[in-house]
Amino acid sequence: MLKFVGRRLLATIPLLFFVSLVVFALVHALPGDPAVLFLGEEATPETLAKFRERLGFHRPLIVQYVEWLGRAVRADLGRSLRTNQPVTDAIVQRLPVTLELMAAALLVSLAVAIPLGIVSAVKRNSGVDVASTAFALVGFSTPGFWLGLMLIYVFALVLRWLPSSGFVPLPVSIPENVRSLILPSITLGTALAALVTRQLRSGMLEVLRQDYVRTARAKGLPGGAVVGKHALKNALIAVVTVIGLQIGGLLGNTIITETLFALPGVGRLMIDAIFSRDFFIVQGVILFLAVGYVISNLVVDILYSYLDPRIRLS
Amino acid sequence: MRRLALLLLALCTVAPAEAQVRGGTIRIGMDADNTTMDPHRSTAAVDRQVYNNVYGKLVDLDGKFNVVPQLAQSWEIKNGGLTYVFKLRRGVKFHDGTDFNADTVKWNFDRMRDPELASPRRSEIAPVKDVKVVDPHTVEVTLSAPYSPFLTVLTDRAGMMVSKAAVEKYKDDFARNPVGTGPFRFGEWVKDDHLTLKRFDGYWEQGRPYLDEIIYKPIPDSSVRYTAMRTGQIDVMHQIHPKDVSPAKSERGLKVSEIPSLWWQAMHLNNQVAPFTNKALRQAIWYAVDRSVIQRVVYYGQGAPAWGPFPPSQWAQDREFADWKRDVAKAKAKLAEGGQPNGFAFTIKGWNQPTQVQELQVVQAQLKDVGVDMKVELLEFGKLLADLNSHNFVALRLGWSGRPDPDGNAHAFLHSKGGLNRVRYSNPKMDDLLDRARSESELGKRKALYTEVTRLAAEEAPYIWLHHDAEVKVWSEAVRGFEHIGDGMLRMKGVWLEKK
Repeated sequence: MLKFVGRRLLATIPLLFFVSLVVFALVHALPGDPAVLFLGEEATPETLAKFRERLGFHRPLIVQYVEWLGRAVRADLGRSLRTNQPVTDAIVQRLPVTLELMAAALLVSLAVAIPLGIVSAVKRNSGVDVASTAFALVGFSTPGFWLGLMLIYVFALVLRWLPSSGFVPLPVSIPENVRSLILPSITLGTALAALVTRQLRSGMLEVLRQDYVRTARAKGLPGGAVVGKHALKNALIAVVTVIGLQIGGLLGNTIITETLFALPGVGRLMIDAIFSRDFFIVQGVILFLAVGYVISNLVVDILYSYLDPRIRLS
Repeated sequence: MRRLALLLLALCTVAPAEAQVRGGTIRIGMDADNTTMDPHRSTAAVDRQVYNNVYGKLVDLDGKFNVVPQLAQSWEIKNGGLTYVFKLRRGVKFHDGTDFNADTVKWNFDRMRDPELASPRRSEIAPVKDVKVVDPHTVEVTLSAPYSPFLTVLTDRAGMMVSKAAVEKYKDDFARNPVGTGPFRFGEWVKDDHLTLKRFDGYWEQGRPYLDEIIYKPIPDSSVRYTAMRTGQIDVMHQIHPKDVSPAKSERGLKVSEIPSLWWQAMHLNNQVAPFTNKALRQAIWYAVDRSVIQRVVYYGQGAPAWGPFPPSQWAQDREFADWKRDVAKAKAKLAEGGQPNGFAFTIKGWNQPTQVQELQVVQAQLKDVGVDMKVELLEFGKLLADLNSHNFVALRLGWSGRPDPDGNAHAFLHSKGGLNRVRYSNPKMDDLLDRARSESELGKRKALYTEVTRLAAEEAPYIWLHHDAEVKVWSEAVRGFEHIGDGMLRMKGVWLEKK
């Protein structure tokens, strides 16, 4: 097991190296001069030159890249051009928001999808099944930002039950923290819930047709145990795969959700940085997200072996 | 009965509804987060909002853009506009307890002028030649040439005084540990979430400020911000989308104030690139565009049509503009004069932002009426600026936030040596008018010069001005004492919250 994890981690090194190269190239290929964006239209050529020199932008790109990479491996991602804050600090400060949002969205989607997926498989073609299919279709095709706007309209504006934007950190107030995340997590989690519902339903249907399920039933096991213990665990493999693959998508969607609800997370950090050409922030965040994605895939692989011991990690 | 009468009497005496209430926290929804807390290094317009409450300035503006005393109690202009002698207010303290005096003022000017700091303020105060401490409460600033806008420049970041002790203590980190003399001191700043200011008890103006605390919340999306306003999560809203203004006016519990701003929006025509090297073709565009339709359709009736660089809020505006109208026949005649009787085609670059896109679409339709085919190329803002600065455009649409002194709305754009003259327009007569208006100190004469500037600009059409934005603020009914000034700054020292 450890050997497997070690090998997988080693294999990520060239991958991350490649990611870093692509990120650096992309960010520097963006049209628009950061110096002009920072110093404004009125800046004199002299001031602009000074700014570029201070940040080393006048040197060849390859030199800039090697230097940036050299520091990045020591967890020093440089400083924000705008605020002079170290990039790692900026990410660490916002990470709890994004992680909490993602966890909440995942929780919401599983809380909806697992019961719905099971019931619609067990009671195939029933009213519940039709409703769940409809939910999956609508949920998956509804754009997140639109859903978010509608939720804000109904729950914040009309009913006034929940705040329309902003974030209260967990240590400040637990109930307020939960309240501030309800709408964003539904916005972010709905598409995933829809996908997982469908995935779980078809997985369950397949498993329920298997011989061992019939055997279990024939042994006289109660229906709940058959579904819950024998069928669900096997059907979950497909679900875990889907979730693992969707983590990247979820991360991407946090950008929209965080902007819509004015949450100070990593997604918004990145979007603001892109628009202001805050190179080091953009590079840092993307590299960080890439690492996160690789790790989440690794976790999924490990989970496989737990769910299906036949899958060998070696 | 007697009790009732007494009660009524008591109510009458207590109830002057405008009695200021002390205490409370006000939450302000901003369109962006601050970038730095150091006014001498700031380049983002949004920064100024917070600075106006943290930093005292030598002078400030009133509602009519007159320069009024703040840290400088009075001033005298001598030697034909070359020397400014400022008498400083006594007993003013910085938030860190150090004294504000003539030495600090000199040190602040030196800091802004230091090439090493590369301060964006350096070019704003470029005319400053020397700063001398006369006595602890008198400073003498000498300019290299008369420069009438000098005082209004000091009503913005260049006039903001920072604590020398704090800069020496924090060095580069002063940007996150600001110390000024303003009514509020810095509390905390959680990037992208909130920035908090606390009441400064040692503020020089007796009894002020009233509020305990200001919380700035950056909410970049304007509809999200407006929703936060409607749901009571913020008390004041900065920057509202034009479409939301009318609904906001009828929303219960909200107050909307709409006054002229200093902005202009314009099409920049590259005077050195065909077809706009041809003056008659520039004029054809000038006459073909209907600014009042833009105002009605794109800006929902807010603001004013623009026929020049000076907005209605400025004394320099030529009031005859109000009567100017679109003239299709004249536009067609100008096309013929320019050798293109059947019209021509050109591409305009613009920022990919909804209001600006709509504006370009309206112009596009209007130009089609005279046979001009305007293609629109939408760009991201950074790329647009880069193309602007490298003169890489035939036409480009961009706005200007404006400056309280008319010089700041015209000189840089119309003078052949102007720093923002990206259209490379050059006319010695225009240069002369702008230079004279800049060094002239008498208001009447300056106004006459700016009228000539406006008319010459209209005649030569290096830019097609389209619109002057409205300055709109929204606040909840509980917010009292806010004076809305056309520069859009939220000065909070006189604001209080009515108890609900």
